[in-house]
Amino acid sequence: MNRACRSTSGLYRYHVVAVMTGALLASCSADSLPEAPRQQQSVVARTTPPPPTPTRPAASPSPALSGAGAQARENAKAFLRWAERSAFSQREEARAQIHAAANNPDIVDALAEEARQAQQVDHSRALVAIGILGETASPRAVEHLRALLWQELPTTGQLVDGEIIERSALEMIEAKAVSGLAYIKDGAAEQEVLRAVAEHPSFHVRAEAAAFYRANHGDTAATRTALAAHVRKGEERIIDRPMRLAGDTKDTVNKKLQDYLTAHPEIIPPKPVQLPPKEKKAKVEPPADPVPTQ
Amino acid sequence: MRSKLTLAVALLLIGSAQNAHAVCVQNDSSAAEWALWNTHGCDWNFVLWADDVYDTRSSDWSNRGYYEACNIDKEFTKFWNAAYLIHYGLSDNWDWSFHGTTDYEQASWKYDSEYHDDLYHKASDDMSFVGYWQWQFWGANSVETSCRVYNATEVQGHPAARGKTYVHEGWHGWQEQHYYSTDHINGPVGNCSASGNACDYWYWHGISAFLFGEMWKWTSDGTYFHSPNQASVEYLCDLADLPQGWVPGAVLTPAASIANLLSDQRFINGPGFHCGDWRPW
Repeated sequence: MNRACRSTSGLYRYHVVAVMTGALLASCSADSLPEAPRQQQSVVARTTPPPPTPTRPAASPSPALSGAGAQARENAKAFLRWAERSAFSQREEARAQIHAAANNPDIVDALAEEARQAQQVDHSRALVAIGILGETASPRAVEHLRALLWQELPTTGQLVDGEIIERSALEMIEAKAVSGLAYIKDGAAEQEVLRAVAEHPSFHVRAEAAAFYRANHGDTAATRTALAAHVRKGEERIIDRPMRLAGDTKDTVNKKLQDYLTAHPEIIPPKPVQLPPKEKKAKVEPPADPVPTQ
Repeated sequence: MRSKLTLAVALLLIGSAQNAHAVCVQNDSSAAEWALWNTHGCDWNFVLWADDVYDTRSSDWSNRGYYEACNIDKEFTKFWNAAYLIHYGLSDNWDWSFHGTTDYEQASWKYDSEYHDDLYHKASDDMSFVGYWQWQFWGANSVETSCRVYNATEVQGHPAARGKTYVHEGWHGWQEQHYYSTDHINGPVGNCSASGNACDYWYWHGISAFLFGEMWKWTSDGTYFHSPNQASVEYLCDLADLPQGWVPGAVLTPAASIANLLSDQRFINGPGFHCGDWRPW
């Protein structure tokens, strides 16, 4: 957001009048065309950060995701804390543990409870918990994910940068839930995903449902045809937009993009409007400042 | 004239009073914050470096943890924690990434370059926005980030969303640098469902269309171009899809979620790109 520029044109007038020194940028209106495709080359940055401290990944092996009753609840909580800290490189280790718990109803229920509790206090934790719940691919998770998916979206709340923040938060939760349902792929879960494509009140959730359906069924013409029967009129782009999927290469993704732009010329944006060049303001060095302390 | 002077003094006092009573939470942090923090503990060399290259000033941050910069519950520590993610968190895969670390750091740090004129970072207690770039008559332009990206209970109160905000607001600086309007477009309009000054166009470009370090380049016809919301999504997608192996799951999951929300809701010609793993975890 740029609050200052709600009155941009006025500010620019003052800017031009008030400039102390500086030369007009000669190249300001010229294209600066990236020449594609090219080979990567090194770029000299203005400054480089110091070498990072060696990273400390989450401990392996992960906590057991097992048990019954209260023990299951404790173990699910411990696993969730571990998963939050686990590194991207530990993802397969985590997935193996999660899949091993698919037939443990107490664990599945405990993960769902963690997700519900986290929703109100830590959004990032809630997203992780719902992701793990979906990753179980357990039929028992379907009911939990369905409940998360169809929570009523608020129509009033705090307006931040043009959106009702409580609504956006819940839309992300519901989108995460639909990704789990699409992954489970049993009959009930699949029907829920297609129903979301057609009926969910959030465009974001409808779009996510379509995207995850495509990803989990193979992004083929048959998949898109199946989806087309459910997609709302005017929203057909959600079954055509290019996505990076397993097996894709840079060239196949770029080809998908070209095909998409050809099929949907209406999405090509208008030419950006450049404003008249103006002089740059004088450089002012910031005052000397103390450094932070621990 | 006198009444105007009185009003100005009153507004100044009100502003000062607000600064003295920061409302951002200074004793809590999200799971994602902690997860990232735990990878480095407190990288003090980085703190000092980031304090310099982000031009964070004691006058703006002293009541937000500037002098407790290793306390992750404090706002200043969260500030540089997100900067750490920008500078170290991406794998910079030329065959897959939209852009490289050098692009996102140049968009977000202080230095005058093709990415923007000089800027400095400060925090705000104003909860009506996430972040904003502001032209300054004297000295560097400012980027303010609000409690919305610091408080643990906020939907964007995690390092990925905070880093995204640095890139986004820095991109308003790019617009100013290259004489494009620094406003968004008023919505709702087209596919953008946000109201007010919040909508952009998505300028589709392929993979490897820009060299790393050349995200600032553009063509006047819009074939190669970035809007601020697009810069946000591309950073988040590069993080969510192509992180360094050590980046924690609690950072990546909300990064993909916020990217896809923005992609679906902020673009007049959207939806934009969809990213993130196809597995729920």
